[in-house]
Amino acid sequence: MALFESYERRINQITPVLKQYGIPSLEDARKLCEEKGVDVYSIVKGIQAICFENVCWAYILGGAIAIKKGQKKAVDIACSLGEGMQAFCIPGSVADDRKVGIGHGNLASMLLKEETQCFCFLAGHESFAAAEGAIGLAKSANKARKNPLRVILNGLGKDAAQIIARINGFTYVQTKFDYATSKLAIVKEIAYSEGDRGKVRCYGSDDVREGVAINHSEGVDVSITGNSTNPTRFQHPVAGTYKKECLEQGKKYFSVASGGGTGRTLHPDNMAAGPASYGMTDTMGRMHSDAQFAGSSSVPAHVEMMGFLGMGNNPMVGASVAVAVALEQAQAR
Amino acid sequence: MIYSSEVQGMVCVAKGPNHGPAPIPQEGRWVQAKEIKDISGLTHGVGWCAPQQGACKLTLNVKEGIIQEALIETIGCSGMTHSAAMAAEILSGKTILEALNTDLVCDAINTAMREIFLQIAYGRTQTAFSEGGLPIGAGLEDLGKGLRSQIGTMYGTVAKGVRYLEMAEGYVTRMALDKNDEVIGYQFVHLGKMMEFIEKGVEPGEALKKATSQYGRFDEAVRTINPRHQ
Repeated sequence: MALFESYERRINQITPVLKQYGIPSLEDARKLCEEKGVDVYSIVKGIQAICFENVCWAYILGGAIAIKKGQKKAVDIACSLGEGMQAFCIPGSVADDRKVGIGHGNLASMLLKEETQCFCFLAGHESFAAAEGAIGLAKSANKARKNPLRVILNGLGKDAAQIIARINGFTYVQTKFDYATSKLAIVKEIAYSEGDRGKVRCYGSDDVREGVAINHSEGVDVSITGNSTNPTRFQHPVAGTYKKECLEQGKKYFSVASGGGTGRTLHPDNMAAGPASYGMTDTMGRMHSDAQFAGSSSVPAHVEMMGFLGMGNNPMVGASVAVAVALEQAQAR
Repeated sequence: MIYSSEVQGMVCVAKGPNHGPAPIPQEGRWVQAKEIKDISGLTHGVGWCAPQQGACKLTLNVKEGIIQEALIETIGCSGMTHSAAMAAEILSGKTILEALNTDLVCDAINTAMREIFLQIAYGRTQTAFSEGGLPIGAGLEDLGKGLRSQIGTMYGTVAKGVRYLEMAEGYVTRMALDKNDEVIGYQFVHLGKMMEFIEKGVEPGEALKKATSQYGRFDEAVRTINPRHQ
């Protein structure tokens, strides 16, 4: 059996990268990481159990590249992970075209920088899996930072927000938005666990205005959108509106458009009538995003379909940070 | 072709614009599709039957108008599983136009075929922007490890609350409850993986253990319940 999915379509791009860094093979790349005491494969599997093999090997390659470069800081290692992931992209694919691998590496690096204080998963709250990335992040990012990174989930639906917080052990923050005064009030907070997971704050919004207000109240610096459920009702309008208001305030805000349908042609454009184009949410993403991913925030097969790797984009953010931090810590030993 | 004498006698008014159709994105190229053979791509169609007691998700990988790969997934009705068995054999090798007027022996599958035809003929495929489309076998890959459909089965009542029976991760064996009796996680068996272990000679008990995992805060449970019997 091949080492990973779509081996033949990927290996021709991977071999030159291995060669460039003087690594004989992917197995040797794995050895390089393991000699440093880092089991990259298991870290990645631990973030999203249903991920594909190819994503594990892409991180192994990225890790080996970082070691070969002699990188010691997670901020730099993350960018090398992106290089490894980029090498795995299928040529001519959406992922290749949008340089999604490099983008993932850079996003992880940004989350490890001190100036980024709050990261938000702008979610549809459709599955528990958006949270998988948050857990990975919460667990590892702060090991490499002086000031802890605050991680929040902001999505449509208060009931769903509470259930997601409960299952994952986050803190559910119940808010009430006053539509007359645009004031946001916190009604109550329920911490479903202690420690790093409990520090992840999970919000449920009733609509776009409340979602934007939540972003302001937390001072979100970087966000990533889910796109599978509610994308035109919530995630993209919130990101776009918040972007505009941040520009007005002179505040830096980096928006990543990701999630289901991004790079595909579906969603409100899926009425299957009239000339086709990129779908509506893909277009909305283009309007507000600083970087755009492709595929799905949670479903491995849908991200793979875009010529990238078999792991949800959100868990992947968690995996990038987790691997980068593990390698930094190993180098420090 | 015969023209009636009325039309024959008419003055000819010239047709001006002739741009052809708007191109549709297919497998990374923009194609002016005029004939069935111009249609390629992998995508899904979802169908249902008149009483809506069952639903079908149809995945076709079409190359130059011909169905090269068909994945048929059904839910909700026992009869349609057998219809699907027949349809999987019937569909491969047909053009998508042919497939429209072929009885796929189940309302839901026929409807799914109609829906997928619309999606694919209008350029709304999953592979619209994937260079060269996806290889034959991509439909199967959609199923993930162990090749089982992604099925969600959940149940709830006012009196007794929610039951998780089947999740993407597998067959749910235990639900974890906290001190308020609210769900905080679950334990499941990945049946596809378990059967693969058994196939490879692992003892069933051991295979069951190896294919069992958990999600959420299962370890923090105050108590766990069997969602089918408790």
